[in-house]
Amino acid sequence: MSSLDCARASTWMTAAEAGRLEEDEACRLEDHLQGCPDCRGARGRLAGLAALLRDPPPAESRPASMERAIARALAGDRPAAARADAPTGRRTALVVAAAFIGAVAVSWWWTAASGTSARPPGPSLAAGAVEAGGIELAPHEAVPLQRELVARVPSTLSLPGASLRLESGTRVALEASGEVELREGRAHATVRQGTPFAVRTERFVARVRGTRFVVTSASVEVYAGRVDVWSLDGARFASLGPGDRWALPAETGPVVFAPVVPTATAEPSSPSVAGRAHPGLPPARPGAPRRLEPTTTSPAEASAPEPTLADVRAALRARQTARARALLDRLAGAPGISRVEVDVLHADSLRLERRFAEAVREYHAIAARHRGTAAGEAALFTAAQLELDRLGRTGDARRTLEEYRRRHPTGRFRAEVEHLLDRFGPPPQER
Amino acid sequence: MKPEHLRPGGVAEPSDDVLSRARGGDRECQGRLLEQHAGLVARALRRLVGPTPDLEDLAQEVFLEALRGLPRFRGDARFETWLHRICAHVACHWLRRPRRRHPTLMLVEDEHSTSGPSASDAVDARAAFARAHELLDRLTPVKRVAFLLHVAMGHSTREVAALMGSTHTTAKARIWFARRELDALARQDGVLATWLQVTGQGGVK
Repeated sequence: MSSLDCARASTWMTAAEAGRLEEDEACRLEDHLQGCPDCRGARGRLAGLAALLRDPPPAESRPASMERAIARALAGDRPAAARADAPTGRRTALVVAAAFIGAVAVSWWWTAASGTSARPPGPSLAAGAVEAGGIELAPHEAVPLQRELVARVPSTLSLPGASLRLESGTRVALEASGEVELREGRAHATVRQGTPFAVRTERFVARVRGTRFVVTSASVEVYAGRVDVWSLDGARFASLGPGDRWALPAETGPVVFAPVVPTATAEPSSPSVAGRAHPGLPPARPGAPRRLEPTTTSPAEASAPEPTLADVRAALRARQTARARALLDRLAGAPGISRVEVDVLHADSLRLERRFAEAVREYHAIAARHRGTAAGEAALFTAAQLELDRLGRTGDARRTLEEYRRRHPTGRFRAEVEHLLDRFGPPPQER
Repeated sequence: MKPEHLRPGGVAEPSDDVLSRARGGDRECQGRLLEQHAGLVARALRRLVGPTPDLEDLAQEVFLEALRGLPRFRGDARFETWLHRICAHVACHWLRRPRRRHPTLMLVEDEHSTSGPSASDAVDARAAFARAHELLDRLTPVKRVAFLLHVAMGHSTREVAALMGSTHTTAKARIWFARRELDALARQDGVLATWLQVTGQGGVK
């Protein structure tokens, strides 16, 4: 057996990293490495780099941007980068105009929020990647008000007297009143002592006076200072101190608000507009219900005969998700209506709208609530699929699939689950 | 057989019927086909070009090329391998264009992340990942892409040759030179040296 030179050892090391070295070649390589510190060092460096390049850190799972890319490709559009040579005067002008409008709005927001003519810095993007109305903000760019902001990666907004860290996929809007409206996801707030600050969700408001806390649409966790949690109609839910955590009741499920019907016959508290009734929760604030989406329900529809689940399915097939949810709201709690079917159809409507993070939460809730049923089993598998394919959360998907395997050892998706788990390879601790 | 961590994909091969309908111009079918493979394309592009704000444009280019090339896809190779080939071409083309790599934002820590490495690890790994790609920027695009197809995406040298339309010898040479050049750059790089040392990878002497 002849000894290797460094050049061939280098080739073989690449092959070895990819697991493509025969046993005798591996032995010869090891012999060479024993006597060659340079090659040993190179192997260590390149093995580490290969691992880094092979498994990039979880930074930018951007399902939304892939969806846009697909939509544009289907429309036959060339990417913007491919058209980069074209003059961009108009685009620049638009950006400047947008920045100007943003600056004016920010100034007004601050004045309205603080009641002073002083001009401290307004809301801006401190770090990360955030979209406002489909346009990605530049670092340190002023954040527009009353526009939905979507954090494409973990991002930080700098607000007067506070900073707001948004987890990936979180959707918020900055209101003119100075409140932050959390529409989806999780926000970490750090507020300077003495600064009034509030985060509003669909069913509660968390108000603080200098603290550090985390809000999701269903919970508040406090790390420092005090946070009061209020219902939208002004009743105090809880007063939390450091280490406290408050959550909506577990059986509540997602909070869904039906569309507002601007007629005298449709009172906000009526079943057709007040959304699902949740035990232990007050109704949405009369006259100012939070809406998740525009309505497609007409006043005539509100007084139509009781819908059936078949109507909901038909609406979903027609991709009329808002209408489907409005029908579900009318159906919830009605006699003879299966709760699990209502839940599943609601989750399906979110999935069809590509609100995958919310849909996953719903499917998990269904799987927990209806454990041992076919619907629960399907919901768990669907959650794993969305985590894997849509959200890029491979760790979560793996855990969900393993949970499925534990709960449903002879389940109908077992083969597919095994196939997916097999593709993940061994658990990290076994590598 | 490839080691498990290098197995590609995770997406089921589309059926003949789906491919046939997509080739025939069924928009819904084409959309579904692309959606099913969007994750695969995103992962491949990210591994080939590193962190870039142009990822969406690159993916759009890949999807556009895939739609145009569908009538020519005969099914000789797996669909995802075919997509990897398009990704490699699009990445090479993009890497040849003069561009400015945007500074990487240091993302905030996320102590509530429920999966994966801890937030601070992820931040460090992101910085190291970005740095590694800055070093790879100094390689020629074909060497870089060949190296990453092999090392980061688990393709054999023969597969790399097929994906890049080169001979096997050329593919092996590109990977070998890329490996040597990257090692020379990494050896002098403080960021990567620190990261490798901290993570216990590559501290062998």
